Amino acid sequence: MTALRVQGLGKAYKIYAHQRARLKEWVLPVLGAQHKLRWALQDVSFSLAAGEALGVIGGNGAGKSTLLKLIMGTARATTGRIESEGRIAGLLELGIGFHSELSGRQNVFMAGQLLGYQIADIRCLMPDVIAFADIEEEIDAPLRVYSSGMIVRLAFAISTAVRPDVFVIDEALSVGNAAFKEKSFDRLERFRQEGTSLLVASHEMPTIERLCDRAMLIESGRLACLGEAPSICETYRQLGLAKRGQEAKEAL
Amino acid sequence: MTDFLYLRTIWLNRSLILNATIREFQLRYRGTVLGAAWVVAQPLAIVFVYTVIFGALMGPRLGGPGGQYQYSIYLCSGILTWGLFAETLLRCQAMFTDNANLIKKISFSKILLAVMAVAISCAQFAIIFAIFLLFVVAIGAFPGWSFLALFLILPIQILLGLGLGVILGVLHVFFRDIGQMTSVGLQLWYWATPIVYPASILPDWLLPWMYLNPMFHIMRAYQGVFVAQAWPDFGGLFVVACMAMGLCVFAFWLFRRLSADIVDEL
Repeated sequence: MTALRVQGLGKAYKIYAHQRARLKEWVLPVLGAQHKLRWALQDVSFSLAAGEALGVIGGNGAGKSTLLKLIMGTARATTGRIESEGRIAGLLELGIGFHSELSGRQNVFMAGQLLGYQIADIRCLMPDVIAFADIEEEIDAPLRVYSSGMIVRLAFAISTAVRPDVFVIDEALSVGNAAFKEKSFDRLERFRQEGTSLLVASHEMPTIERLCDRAMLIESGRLACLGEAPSICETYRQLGLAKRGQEAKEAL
Repeated sequence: MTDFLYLRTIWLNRSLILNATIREFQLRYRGTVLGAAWVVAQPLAIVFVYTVIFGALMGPRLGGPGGQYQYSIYLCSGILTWGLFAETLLRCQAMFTDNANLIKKISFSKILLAVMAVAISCAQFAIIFAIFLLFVVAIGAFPGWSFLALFLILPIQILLGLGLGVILGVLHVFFRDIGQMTSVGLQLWYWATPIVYPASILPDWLLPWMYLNPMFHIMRAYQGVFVAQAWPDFGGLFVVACMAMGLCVFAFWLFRRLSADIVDEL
C-alpha cells in the first residue's frame, strides 16, 4: 500500500529586485511580471509505502527543507502533486509553538492544539507525554527553567504522542542526549512496525542508515538519485569528499 | 466558497482560540503584582488627563443627565471603544509577521490568528468596559433600553476592524511600510473623528465629509447611547455594516489568494 505519492513536485519562489518592483507588479499588472522565479525544488517524484522509511540527503540549500515543508503542507507546491490518504504529521523544528513563560503542561496544551489535537485527547495523552519526556517533576515549572534537552524531549513527546500515517522529521533528531536519541529512535521504529511511513532529512548518515531502508539524494533542487540507504549515503560521502577536495584545490 | 468567511474553520478551532486568549492574558501580566488591573491603567490615564484638561471647558456644552461627569462619559464612550478598534487593527496587522516561525513550521489555519487577535482585543475591552459601565450605573446615568444598541454597534465595529486588519496584515507581509503606516494612520484617524471633541465644534463645510468616515458613525452611535441616552442612527450604521462586511469579504478573498505567498515571503 502506498502511503504517500509525490509526482513532479516543484517549488519556485518569486524573487523581486526591490520591494518597489513588487508594488509595480501589483498596481500595474499590465506591465507584466516584475519577478524572477528561483526554483528551490524541481521535478521530484517518489512514493512511500506504508511502514517504509525514506531518508532525504543533500547539502545545505539543496532543497531538503523545502521538500519537507511541501509535504507537511506549510508551503504550497508550484508544480506537481502530493497524494496521501492518511494523516501527515511531523517535526520541522523542535519546540515550535512553545512559549518560555508558560509551564511545560500549558505548552503541551498549546502546541498540541496547534498540531490539531482536541483538548480531551491532550488530557488523555498528558501522562504518556510526561513519562516519555521524563520531566515528571518540572512539568508545571515555566519552560525557561528547562534545559534545552528537556525542551527537546517535551517537543518530541508531544509531536509523536499520536501515531500518524506519515511522519516527517527535519534534523530534529540530531539534538538531545544519547539515551533520549535511542528512545526516540525506538518510538519511530515502533511507529514503522505499526504502519507509519517515515521521511527523515538529516546531515547525519548514521541516522539515515539506522532508520531508513531507502534514501534520496537531492542536489540543487533536483532528485539526483534514489536507492538503498547505504549506497546513497556512500554516494553522498564520496560527493562530500570530492567537494572538499575541489575546494582544497581551489584554495591552493 | 465552501467555508464562508472561514466560519467553519473558526468553529472547529474554538477551543484553541479560547485557550490562546487565556494564555495571552496570563503571559502579559505574569509576574506583575496587580495582574489584569493593568489593562485599565492605560485608558484610565488618558481619560483622567482629558477630563482634567478639557472637562471644565467642554462639560457645560454637552448637556445631558451625567451632570459634572458628562464630558467623562462622552470621552469614555469614544476612547474605550476606539481602543478596541485600534487594538484589533494593530494586532491583525502584525499577526503574520509576529508568528512567522509558527506559520512556516506548523500546518494550521493561519486565519485563526486573526480571530485570536480579535478575541484578545475583545477580552481586554470587556474588562475596561465593564468598569466604565459600573461607573455609569454608580452615578445614575445608565442609558436604559438604548443600551441594547451596543449589541449592534460593537459587532459592526469589530467586523470593520477585522476586515481592515486582515487586509493590512496580509499586505504587511509583503510591504513592511504597512506597519509604520498603520500606526501613523490610526493616530490621524483618531483625531479626525469626534472622540475627544464633540462633532458640534466642527465647521459646517466639514460635516458632510465626516459622513464618509465610518468611525464617525460608530463613535456617534456610542456617544449618543451614553450621553443623550438615545438610539443610534440606524441608517448610518447600516451603511457602515455593509462597508464592514464588504471589507471582510475582500480581506478573506485577499488572504486566500495570497495565502501561499505569505508563507514564502515570511
